[in-house]
Amino acid sequence: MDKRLKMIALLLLLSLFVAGCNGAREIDEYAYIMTIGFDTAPNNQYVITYRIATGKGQSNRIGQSQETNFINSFVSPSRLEAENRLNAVTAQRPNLNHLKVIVVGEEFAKQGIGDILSSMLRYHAFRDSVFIIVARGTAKDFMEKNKPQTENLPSIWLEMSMASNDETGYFLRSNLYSFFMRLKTTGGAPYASYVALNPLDLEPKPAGEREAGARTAPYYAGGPGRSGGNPAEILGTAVFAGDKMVGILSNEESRAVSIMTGEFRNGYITLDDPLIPKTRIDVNLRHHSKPSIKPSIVDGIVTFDVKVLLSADIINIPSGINYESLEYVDLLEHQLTNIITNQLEKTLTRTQQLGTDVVGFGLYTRTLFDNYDDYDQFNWYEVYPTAKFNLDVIVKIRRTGLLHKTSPFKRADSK
Amino acid sequence: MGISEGLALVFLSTFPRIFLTRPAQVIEANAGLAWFAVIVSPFAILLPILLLLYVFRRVEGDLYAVTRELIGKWGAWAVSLVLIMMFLSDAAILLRLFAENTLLTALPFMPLETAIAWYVFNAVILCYFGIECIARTSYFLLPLGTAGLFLVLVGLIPFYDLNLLGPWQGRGFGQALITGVTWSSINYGVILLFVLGPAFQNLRTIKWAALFGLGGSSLLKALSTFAFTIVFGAKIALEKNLPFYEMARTIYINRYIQRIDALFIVVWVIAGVISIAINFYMAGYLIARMLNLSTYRPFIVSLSLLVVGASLLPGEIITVILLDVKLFSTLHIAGLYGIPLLLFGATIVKGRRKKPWTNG
Amino acid sequence: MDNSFVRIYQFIKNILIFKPAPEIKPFVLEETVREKPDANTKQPDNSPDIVQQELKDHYYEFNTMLRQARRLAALMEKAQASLTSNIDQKTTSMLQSELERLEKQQQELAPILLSYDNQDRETVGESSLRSSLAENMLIVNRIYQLPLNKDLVVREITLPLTEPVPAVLLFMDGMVDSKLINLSILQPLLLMSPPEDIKTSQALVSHLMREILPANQLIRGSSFSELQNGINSGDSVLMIDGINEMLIIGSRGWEHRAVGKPTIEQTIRGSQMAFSEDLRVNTALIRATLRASDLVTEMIKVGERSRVNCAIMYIKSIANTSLVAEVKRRVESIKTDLVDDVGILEQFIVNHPSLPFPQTLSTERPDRVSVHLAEGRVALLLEGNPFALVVPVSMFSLLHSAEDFSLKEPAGTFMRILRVIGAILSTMLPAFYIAISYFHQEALPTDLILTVLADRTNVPFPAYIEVLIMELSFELIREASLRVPNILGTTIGIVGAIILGQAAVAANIVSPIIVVIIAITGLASFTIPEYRFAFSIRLIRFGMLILATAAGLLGLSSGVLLLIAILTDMKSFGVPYLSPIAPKSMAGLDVLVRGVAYRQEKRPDFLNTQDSTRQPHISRRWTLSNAVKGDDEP
Repeated sequence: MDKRLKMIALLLLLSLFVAGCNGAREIDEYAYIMTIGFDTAPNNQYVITYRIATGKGQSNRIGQSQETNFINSFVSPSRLEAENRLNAVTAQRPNLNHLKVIVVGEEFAKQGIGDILSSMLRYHAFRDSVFIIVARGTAKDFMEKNKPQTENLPSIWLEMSMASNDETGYFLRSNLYSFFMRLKTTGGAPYASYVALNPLDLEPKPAGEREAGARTAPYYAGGPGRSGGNPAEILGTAVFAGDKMVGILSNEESRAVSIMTGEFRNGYITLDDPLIPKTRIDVNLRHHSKPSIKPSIVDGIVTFDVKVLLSADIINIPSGINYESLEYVDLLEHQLTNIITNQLEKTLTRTQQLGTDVVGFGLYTRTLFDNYDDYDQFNWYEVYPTAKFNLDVIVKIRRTGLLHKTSPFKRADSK
Repeated sequence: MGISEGLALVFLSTFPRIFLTRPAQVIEANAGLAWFAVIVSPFAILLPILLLLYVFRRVEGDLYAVTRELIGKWGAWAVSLVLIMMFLSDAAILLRLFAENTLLTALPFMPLETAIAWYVFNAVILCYFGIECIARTSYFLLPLGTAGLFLVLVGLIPFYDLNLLGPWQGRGFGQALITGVTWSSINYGVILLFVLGPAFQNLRTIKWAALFGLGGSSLLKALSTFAFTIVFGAKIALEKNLPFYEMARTIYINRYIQRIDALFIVVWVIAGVISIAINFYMAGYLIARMLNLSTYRPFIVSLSLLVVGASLLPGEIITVILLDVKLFSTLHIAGLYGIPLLLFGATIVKGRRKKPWTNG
Repeated sequence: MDNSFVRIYQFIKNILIFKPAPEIKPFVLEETVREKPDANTKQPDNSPDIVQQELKDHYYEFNTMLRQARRLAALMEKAQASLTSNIDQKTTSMLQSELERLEKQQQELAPILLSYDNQDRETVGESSLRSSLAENMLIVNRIYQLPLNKDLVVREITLPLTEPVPAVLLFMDGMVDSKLINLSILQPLLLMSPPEDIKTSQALVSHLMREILPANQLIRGSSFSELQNGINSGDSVLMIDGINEMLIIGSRGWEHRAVGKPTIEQTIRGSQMAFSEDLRVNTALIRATLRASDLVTEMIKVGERSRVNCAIMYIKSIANTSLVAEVKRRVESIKTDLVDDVGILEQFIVNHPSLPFPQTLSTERPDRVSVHLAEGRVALLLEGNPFALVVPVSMFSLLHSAEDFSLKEPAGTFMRILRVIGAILSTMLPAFYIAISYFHQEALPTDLILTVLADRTNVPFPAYIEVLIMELSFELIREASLRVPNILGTTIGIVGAIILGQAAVAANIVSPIIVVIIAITGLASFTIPEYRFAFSIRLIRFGMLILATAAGLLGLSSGVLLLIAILTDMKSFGVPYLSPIAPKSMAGLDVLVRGVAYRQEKRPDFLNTQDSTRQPHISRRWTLSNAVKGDDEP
């Protein structure tokens, strides 16, 4: 009896391995894809670009030239077919578990990315944490020329940049989670960060006129004049209606959106000095408390009361005027409030024209309904262009940095 | 066995469906009030519990003996057969669903038969150890399981958006009540306390074990359904096949703490194996009582083969998910509410007052 | 002396020239008569061995009767000689006493004929002393294999009674304190004044016991088993001619190790005494730490050929009586040759001897034993062993160390939690890593994956083979360091662990992360205070590794589940192994978290002691009243 039990136990133990290793794969049997880029190609095909990490050069000092990744592009009718073809090229199997970023070319985004979207929901390797960005030009170009200087892998550069978007609010970060949430629950329009390659020639290419009283003009990615280093930069947001891209928000409009959603943490703003418009003042804006959005229906029109309370810290007063004192601080606050309110209004108008609710007011309309089925009948996207917004922006100067007074200094020609 | 062991048994016998598709189905039916539908079910089950407690105060023994006393041998056999069918069908469905989910999430390249064999083997071994061992193991692992669940819920805090709950009345309280009561049969595991009867110290133990076990498990289920609603919203949530896994996948705290869904496999595999083992044990125990045998152990292997055959019957997974709902709305509702009502009626009719076996 | 060339020549000659094998047969260990197989077939009654045995029996019987007859004849001759010559009062009484002695011996001949002392030890043991010293000495010679056995010393003396009576003192050389024998036994016996009016042998023995011998342990005995027990334990035995009783005099004094520092369970604070090999020293140490009057020490002799003392200690008013009875029952019912180690004793009495998890607590510190005794447990000590067993024990007690008691609450809790983490890591870390790196690569951070990728490209082995190689080398190092003499001990540690690991990485046999994982696992296993528990965890680790290789985290979770199921199923002397968590009983503040000393109010509930309160609710009475004024205040 004892012997029989032992035989059975042994057979059972061996049977653990009878069916093969159940898919056990060594770490070095996989080719880890870090970034995927999608572009359109003629004949209803796509150009799909993969960036694959090789693992070499991880222990490099920064800047040494050992290759840490390589790029392959494929022309194919679908994403999965391209993956099949990738398998023919690399020795290892492609593995999407460590995917960080999906780059979509501008053409492709305008055409509509619905084709690739649904596989991203169903296939288990696409996690909600993958970032999605839209690139000016082609994704392939962007990926090839993106060479960050402080990271070994460009995907890490992108991932870390996404986390730092609340530093300025100049672009909105978007991962698959928020993209799908916005797509399926009619709560807002999906958006993606907008990236581009800067020509690095120190010539600014603004996207519009600057505000009255503000010093800076809005830009899209690739616009600001700079030179040296990585040509890739992230500025602005691409907004989608459904799965098609319909427009790009500039950096200031993105900041306006992030102020209204509450994602904005802090950022510098430069404005004209109210008393001496030739000089400028720099302040650091941040939220004092989260903005409150209250929906209501007034005369059959959906109205939103948006209350934004910002607090500013003075950073720089070149003119030497004592704006910290109580007489002059009102002027500064007034100027700031005007600028911010104008920016918010312009952004809202623009988004209403595009028909995309980037801020996400649609979610707040849920409180207007009692019943889920009623809410289901209501199509927010039709109603959005006719909505009204009552903006109430208050900017208060709270802190003045290390100086609490500014004493004027004399110059040879001062009065 | 005491309160803690009964509590653990009830908890693990009612909990595992949170790891399967059930939350998505509840949200589809109720939108914002899904959590309410889940929390209604223990209140609905209070009725059969009270009825059975009343019966057990009058008549001595475990469920089989009580039924035999009240209805006679053939009635007892009928009731036992219904209960055995309930437990075994639950085991078959759980087995198939857990094995399929393991294939989907953890080990995509494992053959389905191997996954099913793995679960069955574990459940059979656990069953051989005995119900005390199963109860104590579950009690021991309970804090770890709930800690895992809480970790997921806490890790998702950056993703919570209360606006997604609204309109907060969902499809109406009426609909939520109906769903809650119709689907309360997935908590039929409470009846196992009565099936085991005298194994527990007295009726007070059974009462508190039922209340704490059922209450705790429903509370956790409601909490996680609530979290699921406010993370994903109704439209997306109803699409998901595996809500818990999806929630675990979404956790992103910084560059390093992301993609940790693999670590929670341990939690739901253990929950699945223990619940299948409990079902096997109950079916074996009832068979042994029915046929007046001294032990249940020889039946375990044969029962497990039966269950494996049954679980492999449907061809694709959608059938299994639909069958899950259908079966539990019919057979298990009948068993869960019908059997206590039957016994209660028989007690009233017989009007017998026996010396209670417990100080109740 | 031949020189080398001659020797080489002879060597080659020996190889090349054939020489028949020498006639000497080499030694082969053959089976004895009784071991020959086939117990089924009856031995024919006229086989030579049985016949020889029967002849031996008859020979001894015959010899005894012959000796008795010769003594009778000698006595008769003496009587005749003294009767024909002068009749002396003294001689008459001497002859009379000798006659009485012979009569007594005659009476004993009948039983001798019936149940004879053959070579069987058991029958000899049961039989009682004869009245004749010569007979007794013959039996003693046969039992102790004298004159072959040089350990037993036979000291013949004559007791200076009114009629001098021969007597013999027996003791084992080396086991007795010879000064004590000289001064407290031989001196009073040889120098005693003849007692008046002692007529019976009983009276003589009582007189010797109560009035002559100043030994502090002295009992009478009358069977050969008591004689053997006494002599084998180091006592001296006094046998007097004509008396069928003997005196067993305590005279132990063999060399033993002094009480030293604990070698395995070292603590920073707390006492630094450890048990030594002498049973009485050990019980004394426990008694010195736990000065309770009802601390009972029961002695049970264990083993058949070598009867060693096993001491069972418990506090009578606390320990559960059925627990004590069960422990005694199990120890008394052991029937084996020799139990020389407390580990062997443990294997005989625990519920699950084949499972590697220890069901008793083994400690070498008397302060730990006292604490457990005060909680209501039972301690077993074996002679010749510096470890005590404490039963019953739950798994959580095995993760406690003596340090927890002497440090304050946060430190004690922190160390316990650290040990639990160490135990978990030591069981599961390699399996966890293998499961994740084979099946769930996404759980590792990307940077780590790419580093491992870079390191693994040069390594030819799969990851689980690397883990097995490193585990094997770690176990080899561990085992080797036990055998290496102390001088080289540290060298092996450095050479083995560090350089070997480093060299293995440089030679691309293993990747560095595996070395780190195995090192952490090994270190974690050293945090477990109980050596046998750590050993069983080492064994489990391999099982988990196999399961993880087969099915990833599914296998690992099955492993965890089965491990917990086995642990819950185990019992240690009636107490489930995972008390007080499963089944739930009142835990008190001593399971995972160590509460402060003044809050340990109840004894552990699962021990079902007779008295469960240790301290009242307020045990620091100074917190209830005001401070007192000292002398220097007006």
